[in-house]
Amino acid sequence: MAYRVETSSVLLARIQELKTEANAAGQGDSFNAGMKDLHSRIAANPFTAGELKYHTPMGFPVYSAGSGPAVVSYVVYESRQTACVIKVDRLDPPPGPHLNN
Amino acid sequence: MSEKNGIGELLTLADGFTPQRRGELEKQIDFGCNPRHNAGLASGLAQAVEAVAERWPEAAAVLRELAAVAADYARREKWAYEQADKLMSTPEARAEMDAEIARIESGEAKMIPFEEVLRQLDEDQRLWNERQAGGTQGAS
Repeated sequence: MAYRVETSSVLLARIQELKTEANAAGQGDSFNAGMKDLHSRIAANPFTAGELKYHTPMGFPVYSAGSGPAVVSYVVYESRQTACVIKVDRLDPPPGPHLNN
Repeated sequence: MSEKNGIGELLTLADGFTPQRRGELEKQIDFGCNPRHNAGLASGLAQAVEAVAERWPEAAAVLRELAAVAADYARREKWAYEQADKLMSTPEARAEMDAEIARIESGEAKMIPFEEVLRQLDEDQRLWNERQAGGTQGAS
């Protein structure tokens, strides 16, 4: 079953900050693709996506390979079939030649 | 993954792929959302290359490219998870997340469907593209 994914207005502001940084680096499209990928992964199976244990606010990431490293943490409320994103951040690019992709 | 399966060689091969070729190959592999799954996938493909290399060199060549991108994907994913774990495990990050959970559970936080976040990001991108296009036209 698909879970609803929500976040707070505070987190929305943080996501928009990151988006502005991505735009400035010419990676706005990639950032959006990464966020869409994160959303679909969490919605499909939040327990698998980040290896997050039920109701445990551990900072396990979801990695959006191919569209720029992004990390989110979320907490799952199974009774509401909802995953709430509680932290979003961006990682430095991984080392290696593929960075130039 | 172990070096005995030629992972180092596979990573070197992957480093030589163009972004387009890398994307084509990655689409052929059913990566999962779990880094352990993807590391196992990469290791299995590397072993498959070794297993068929002598008898079926053509098949091995095809498999080798797939194994190379799988190994590279697993390498990047492992790196990202390690970095993310460091980022999310600091006392400051934990406090930030605990506070956000408290706001959610008390009803203080106004929750937004993530679809709305994505819609706003798309709108932002559209406006950004328009501004960039305008700037380019103005400069020429």
